Amino acid sequence: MPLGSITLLEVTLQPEGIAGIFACPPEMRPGAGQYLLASAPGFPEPFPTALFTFAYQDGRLTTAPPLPATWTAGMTIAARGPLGTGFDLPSVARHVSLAGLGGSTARLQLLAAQALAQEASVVLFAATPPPELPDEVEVLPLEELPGALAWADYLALDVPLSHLGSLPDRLRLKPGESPSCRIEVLVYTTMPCGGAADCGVCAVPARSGSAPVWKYACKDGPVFGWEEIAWQ
Amino acid sequence: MAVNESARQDLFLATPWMNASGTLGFLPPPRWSFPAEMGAFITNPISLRPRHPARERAVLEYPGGFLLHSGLPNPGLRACLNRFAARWAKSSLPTWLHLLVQNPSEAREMAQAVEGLDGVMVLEIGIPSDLPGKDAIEMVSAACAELPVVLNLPLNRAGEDWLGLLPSTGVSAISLGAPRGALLLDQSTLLHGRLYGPALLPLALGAVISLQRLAIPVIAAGGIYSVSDGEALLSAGACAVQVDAALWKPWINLL
Repeated sequence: MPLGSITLLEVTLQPEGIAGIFACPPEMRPGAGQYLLASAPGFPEPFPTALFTFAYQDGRLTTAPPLPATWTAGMTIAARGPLGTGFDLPSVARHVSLAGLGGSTARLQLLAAQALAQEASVVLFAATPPPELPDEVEVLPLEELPGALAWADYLALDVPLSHLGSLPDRLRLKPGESPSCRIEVLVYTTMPCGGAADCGVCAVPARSGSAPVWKYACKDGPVFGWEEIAWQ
Repeated sequence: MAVNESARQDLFLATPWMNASGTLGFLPPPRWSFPAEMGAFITNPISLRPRHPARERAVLEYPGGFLLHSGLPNPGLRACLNRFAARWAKSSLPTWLHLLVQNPSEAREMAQAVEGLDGVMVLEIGIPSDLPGKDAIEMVSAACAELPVVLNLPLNRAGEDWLGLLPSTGVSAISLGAPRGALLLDQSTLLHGRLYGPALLPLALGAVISLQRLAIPVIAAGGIYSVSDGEALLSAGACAVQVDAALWKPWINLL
């Protein structure tokens, strides 16, 4: 995968934190749910930062928050990626639901744009509507998320690793019950090694067939199919 | 310095630069972009039996570094040999195995199991962080056989008296490992783990100097985030250096 540099053009303050706009070559652009592992040469961050795409247009990569507070416009940032497995939006999906259960929906924004581009109806479940949301996206409160299972043919979730175990309850699924629509989960956690070390800190309880296994968000994910995760 | 060159030869190090255990996985990386030539590859910690990730695994950042608690997951010695031994044999770099041992009998069993593997040149023995010195000496002694053995010592233990007994064990070198520390995970949970980051460099330098008293080669680690950091440790008397979390950064020449 490419190792290269991206240039921080602009730093923006969003409700969820600091975000950035970078000049980024197309071959390094992370797809929805993928990430770049980036660091500023000569700066003292002890490990690199994972950058997720908020939007990409004409070589300009807008990343989802957060961004290290020490980064400023004009800096050249070393980056590795795109890394990981991203979302796989079915081309036939016409009812698409998205939800961020960790307070952020920014990492789902690119997926929303892709769903709209294939003329799907898009519903975003969020505590507060994110900025720059296309008018076509309907926003509903998170409390109504279980209703998405009946309406959507594809549901994408952004969930912190620490909240993963409670997700079936949030969707009001009984133990062992399979959801009625296709679900993919972006497991959001710190991924310091980006798959270089198998360090294990981003381990997700998963299944391989019926056998329990551990998968790593950094290289096997961070997006997992519902059926890949061990829910009990 | 001639002593250090001789120690590097004994440890099959073509250069004094290598990764620290736990930073590059179980196989030599296809690309090493840190700007100093790699002299050997060391595996992630390998235990006798499989280890699962810790229940409360986390990375907690603090000024100058971070605490990592992962549980050191690995598939266990037998599975590692099945999956990786052929690749170690083909590697152009000497492979060091980092063995995570719990008692002397495990140390002996694991050391015997890996003797004679092509490409495996050195054993690094990792010990439980709070292991009494007497027990550590027994473990290192049990591991010493055909292959050179390096004791991986958390750098916060470099001043302990029991280390004076190490030369009698046959150990070839001491490598400095990440020190242990604790941070609040939330208001009621204290998380213990390994510490990494640039703030450790002065501690590593102090440990290298302190360990000169033992007349055993010292492989330094901790806080190396540039070539000059490593060179400072080599100048202080280390025979080699292990780079840890800095290897996770994308290293490119931006000049």
